[in-house]
Amino acid sequence: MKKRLAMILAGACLVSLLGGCGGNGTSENAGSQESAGAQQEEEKQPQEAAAEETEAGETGKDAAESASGETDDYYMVNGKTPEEVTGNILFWSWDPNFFEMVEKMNTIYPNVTFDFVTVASADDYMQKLQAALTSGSDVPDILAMEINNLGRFYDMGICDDLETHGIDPSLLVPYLEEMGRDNNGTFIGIPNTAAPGGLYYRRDIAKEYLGTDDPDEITAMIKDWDSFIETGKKIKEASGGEVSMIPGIDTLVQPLVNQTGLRWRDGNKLTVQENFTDVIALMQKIKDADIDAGLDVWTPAWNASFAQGNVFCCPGSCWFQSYVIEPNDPEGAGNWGVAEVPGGYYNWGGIWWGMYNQSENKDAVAAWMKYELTVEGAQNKYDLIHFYPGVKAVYEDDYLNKPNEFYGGQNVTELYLKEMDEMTVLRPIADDALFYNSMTFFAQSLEGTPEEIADKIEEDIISSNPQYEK
Amino acid sequence: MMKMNKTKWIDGLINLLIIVIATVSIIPFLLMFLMATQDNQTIFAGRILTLGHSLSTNFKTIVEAEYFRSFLNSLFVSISSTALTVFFGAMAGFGFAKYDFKHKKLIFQLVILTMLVPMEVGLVAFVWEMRVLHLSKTFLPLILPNMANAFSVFWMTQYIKDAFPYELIESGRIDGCTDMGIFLRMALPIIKPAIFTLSIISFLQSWNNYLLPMIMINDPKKFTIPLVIASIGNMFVADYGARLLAVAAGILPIMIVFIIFSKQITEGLASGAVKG
Repeated sequence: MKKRLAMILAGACLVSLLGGCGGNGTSENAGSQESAGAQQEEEKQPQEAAAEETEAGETGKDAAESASGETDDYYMVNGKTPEEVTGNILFWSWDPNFFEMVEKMNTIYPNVTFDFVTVASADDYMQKLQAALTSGSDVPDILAMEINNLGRFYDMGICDDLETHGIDPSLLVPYLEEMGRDNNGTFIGIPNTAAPGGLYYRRDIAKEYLGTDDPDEITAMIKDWDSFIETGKKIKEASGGEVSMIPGIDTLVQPLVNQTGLRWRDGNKLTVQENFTDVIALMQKIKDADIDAGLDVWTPAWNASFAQGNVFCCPGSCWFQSYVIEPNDPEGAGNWGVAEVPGGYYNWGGIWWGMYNQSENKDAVAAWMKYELTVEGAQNKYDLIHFYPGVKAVYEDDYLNKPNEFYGGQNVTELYLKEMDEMTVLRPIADDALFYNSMTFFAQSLEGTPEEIADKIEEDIISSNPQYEK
Repeated sequence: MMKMNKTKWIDGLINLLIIVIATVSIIPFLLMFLMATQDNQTIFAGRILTLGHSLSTNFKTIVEAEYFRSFLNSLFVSISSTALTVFFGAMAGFGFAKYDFKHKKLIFQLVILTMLVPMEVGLVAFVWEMRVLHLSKTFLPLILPNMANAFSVFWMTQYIKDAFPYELIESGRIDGCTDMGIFLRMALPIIKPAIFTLSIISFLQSWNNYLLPMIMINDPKKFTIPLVIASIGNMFVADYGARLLAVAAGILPIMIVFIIFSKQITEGLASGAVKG
């Protein structure tokens, strides 16, 4: 018995050590390019009303249309034909749908292969990426820059200039292109999706308590926050307190903040007091009206409210359809509508794809990006998971510009297009997540005066990152 | 007679208390197994005390997520890492407890001091080290750190100090046994309870480890259970039913091991408590 135990222990040691002999880690990627003083960025104008027109740009349309299957100039990458473009792309993502989406490029570029790695969330992604960059280990060739982290990517200096690889920024919806440029104006990311907002409401509840489920009529009923509150009270009263207008007050943080187009800091100086006291006061007003169900955003109960019929509507973004409403309310097709959120158009969410500047597969990444910006690439994206593409030319296409069955035949694309033309755009900055998390947390209780709450939010941000000051 | 009745009452109350505590402890497990058969909608609707109809869907989801491969990976990593922790912990503990050498106290304190430094602090350096050693594409980064586990050294030192008398070493030497022989043939069998306890602690630690595999593992074929569980569902809506089925399936082997070795484990914990 003694012998056996000793043998087992020694054997296990040996086996586990031998296991390592098969490894051949050969990654020689250079170390981090993140500059130490990255936080001291020169930020651009805090707010930009992107009133530029989203006209179906001629350049974009032409390029995309010409790129519809044949090997032509559009698909050439640094002088290589699609067949000549090779490489093995390391791609990390928190959503396996992206793997399927990315792989579609093989229809044009058959000799590009992939190594896919699932990471649980955008936060884990950043942690893993920073460890990889600082240790010089395998860094993904395609960088997934989620909007909450996009501001950090502007400063990190790890993204290649995409224009040098023939990626044409003029193909994009203007506000998305603008967000894809870093603080020096270098074009570092193509958008995965446009993310215009909307008020997603249940048609059955609308009919029962408001007498109509028509999106235009609903929009007219809630043209400003006061009428939004009145409508909420009406539903609550008519339902005997059973149905709330919205799931929770913190759900309003993203829309309300983005609608202002204002920033939470100017350099290192916090501007929450200055810029967001009104937003907090408005949230308090809505809370005092008692029209919310008291559900904190992203919690299981919040998710459940989409199917339970105890909440009328939820302000969100176009990706809510596939990522929030459908998974939570699988039987709900046809029972949802999209109205306009009071207070103006906004962008909520989005991912930008960048190219790691030390990548050894730049041609392959550039090829993929070219594919993504074609009509076919954009349609694949929409067919797969209803991403509204960032390519402006495709919004004329029938597959996109048509009644949406999930929304009871409403043509939501028209609304999204209008929003993309007129929305207020809030350009991301480093540490955005700190602000949004803090704002969301305090929006759950809203105790104190708006000034006191704004002060607490600033204190909270400073406790997480002491370089900021009031 | 009165006294008998009073004792019975007290016993009954204690039993009732034990039943209540046991029920409170068991309910989360029971709910986990029930919720593993349900879909999100049923769970969210609060019908968690009923058997759901989604067991096969959830099972399909975890199979598609390569759960069973990750199970084998976790098993390999945890067993190897536990064996190393116990073996090297016992060796170091034996040295500290039974040998006198220069600066012994200082070295022991240094080992204990490393417990104060969270693993996260040295994470980047560790990732770099693994890359330089060309080990980052193997399981070794998840296994090797446990060879130098301060807690296991401390645990074993304390246990061996009390449980293994110096006279046994002398008698071993008189009979011609080498020092390694004394450790392997005499010390290890005597400290079996401590080995079982340490094994279960380090196995669980390795089995549940999330951060290190998340940072180190880039090959989905080498994913461990916590990585696979965390990635079931989308970023905004977790597939709770499938996740709970994966958790339940991951807990079962640990429960089986615990049931088989429960006597030794509790013995080890108790003796550690008395002799410490």
